[in-house]
Amino acid sequence: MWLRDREWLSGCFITGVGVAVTLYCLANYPLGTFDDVGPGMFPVIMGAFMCVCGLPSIFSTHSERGATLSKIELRPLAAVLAGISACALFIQPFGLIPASTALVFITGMGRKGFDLLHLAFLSAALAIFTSVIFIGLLKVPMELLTWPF
Amino acid sequence: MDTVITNLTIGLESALTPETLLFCFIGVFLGTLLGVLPGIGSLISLSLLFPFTFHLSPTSAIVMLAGIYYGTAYGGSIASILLGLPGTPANVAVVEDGYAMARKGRAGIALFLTAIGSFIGGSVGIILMMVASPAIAGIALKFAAPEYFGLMLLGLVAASTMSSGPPVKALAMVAFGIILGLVGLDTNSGTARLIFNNLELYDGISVVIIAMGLFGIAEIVGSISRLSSTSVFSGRITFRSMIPTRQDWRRSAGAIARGAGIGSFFGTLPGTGGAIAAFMSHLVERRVSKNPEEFGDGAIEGVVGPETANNAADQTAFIPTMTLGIPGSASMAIILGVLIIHGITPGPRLVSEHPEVFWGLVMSFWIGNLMLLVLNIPLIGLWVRLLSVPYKFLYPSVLLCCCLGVYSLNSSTFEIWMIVLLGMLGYVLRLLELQAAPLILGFVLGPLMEEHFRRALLVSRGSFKIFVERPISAGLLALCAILLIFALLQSRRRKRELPQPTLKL
Repeated sequence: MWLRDREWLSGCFITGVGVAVTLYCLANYPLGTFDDVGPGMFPVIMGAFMCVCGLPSIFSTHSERGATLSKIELRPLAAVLAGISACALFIQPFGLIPASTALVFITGMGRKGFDLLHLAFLSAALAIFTSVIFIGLLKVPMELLTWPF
Repeated sequence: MDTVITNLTIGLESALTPETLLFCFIGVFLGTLLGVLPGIGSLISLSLLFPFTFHLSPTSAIVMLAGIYYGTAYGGSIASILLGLPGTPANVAVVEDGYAMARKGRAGIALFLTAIGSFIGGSVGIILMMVASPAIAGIALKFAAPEYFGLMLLGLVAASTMSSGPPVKALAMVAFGIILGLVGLDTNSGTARLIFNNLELYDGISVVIIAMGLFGIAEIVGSISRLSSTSVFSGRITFRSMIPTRQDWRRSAGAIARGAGIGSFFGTLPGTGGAIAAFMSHLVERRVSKNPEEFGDGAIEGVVGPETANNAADQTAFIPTMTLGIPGSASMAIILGVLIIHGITPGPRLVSEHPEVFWGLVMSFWIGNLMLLVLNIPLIGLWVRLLSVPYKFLYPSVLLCCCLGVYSLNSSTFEIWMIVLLGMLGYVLRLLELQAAPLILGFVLGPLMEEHFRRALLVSRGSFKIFVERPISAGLLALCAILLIFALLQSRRRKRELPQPTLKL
């Protein structure tokens, strides 16, 4: 049950989610009876089903064992998630242009050998493009640039 | 025969006016453009663009909306094939094979054949609309809660057997998707489920967020380092590479025919639609194919069949809307709303009282489909060049459009945070080699399935016998069981054939 074994980990994940959902829904939502199905019934069934589905992967001994987890690419992952978070943080207080610039720069830094000048051009072009489409064409209520203080 | 010709003439008269043609073109063009942008699908485009139609005549308004509807469907296909991002849940069925084809440089062929397949699928749907609307409405009425439940279960089983991985894990993903779909307010009991005190989740998680987060983010994170200095496909894109080979045509012909049939069937049932039709088509193509191991790696049937089915279903979805006044999907509901605003009440009396509207619509659907084909085939070269954009420019653009598209759903940043969360989940799934496609189908069908399940049990007063006593329902459940057993047997056979790990001496 080596910790990097992908098969075992996926089984744990599935069963884990299944157990969590089943227990949470059993505790919080009434199951009802079969002729008056309550809100908890379906989630609990699905959760229990997930538990069961995960078990073969946890206990199996067939030859797919030994496949280890592929490498977690931390830099791109962090860059993408941080960039999107920046967009979420900036869009309402500061507007579209700061949010999109932040996203482009931060996610752009996710790859080795990024070029600040390229990113600057890209963010300018994207700012124009998205303002035309989202604010101009689709009339989504978004500020281009504001200062909240 | 006489009446059909009279009807066609009436229809053509209203459809071929310059005004109608113009708005059809605008609708198709705008729709395709918006559909390509990740994060924007038919529902968002229709919601955001339909105020423009208030000032138009009813026929023009509907024609423009129908154009937007088809355009976004096709735009979604473009995004799935070129970027690996499903534009709508229905596109999930083609993302794997379509994107694989793009990576091999065959994107032009994929786009070309899907355009043709979609046109044929739409045409078959329209013919059915013209000829068989009342009969189809009659069959659709035979489907009640137990049948719908069986149908959706079948769709989910189809989705789990469609993935190349072990079916047990796919089924687990389906269940996970259903659970995610149940997040939000339960209309039957008034309880808000799994929202963990976030009121924004009252309406549930939006499907756009699931698609973008689970597919888009994970795919992009995985590709950033791999494609760092190049593009998705860096070979030369010649005109010749966009023309399908004879073998491609031969394989697609069957897929298109089957897809059109499957899609026409599923589209007429209100509440099911493009997604389930596309997944079923993919399943059928896989079972029928002479080379099933190609699926997942660029099998043309796996792209053309589902897209044809999707379009046929989108087309026949108009049948229950127009003849019964029951919208088949949220997008149909918007179109229905627009019709009512313009004073046209769809229903059984529409055909007899306003024949020029009904037949005008039918004809303009055809013209819309044709226009989609004509407009997009020359543009395929342009779209495919998108692939040669260096990935370092492509991926921030895609991410930005996703975020903004999602933000425009509710003007709330909560949705963007949800993408972060789901992106992490999507990446975890990717690391664990758990398939996301069955999850999204479970997500879309889960709540509906629960509703039908409850309703069926309510009618039968708690007895499960209702599912097996009704013939159609029993048949569907039997089919599910057969597919499942088949899939489990196949996977066990596959496991036995894998080389056993040998001891190193």
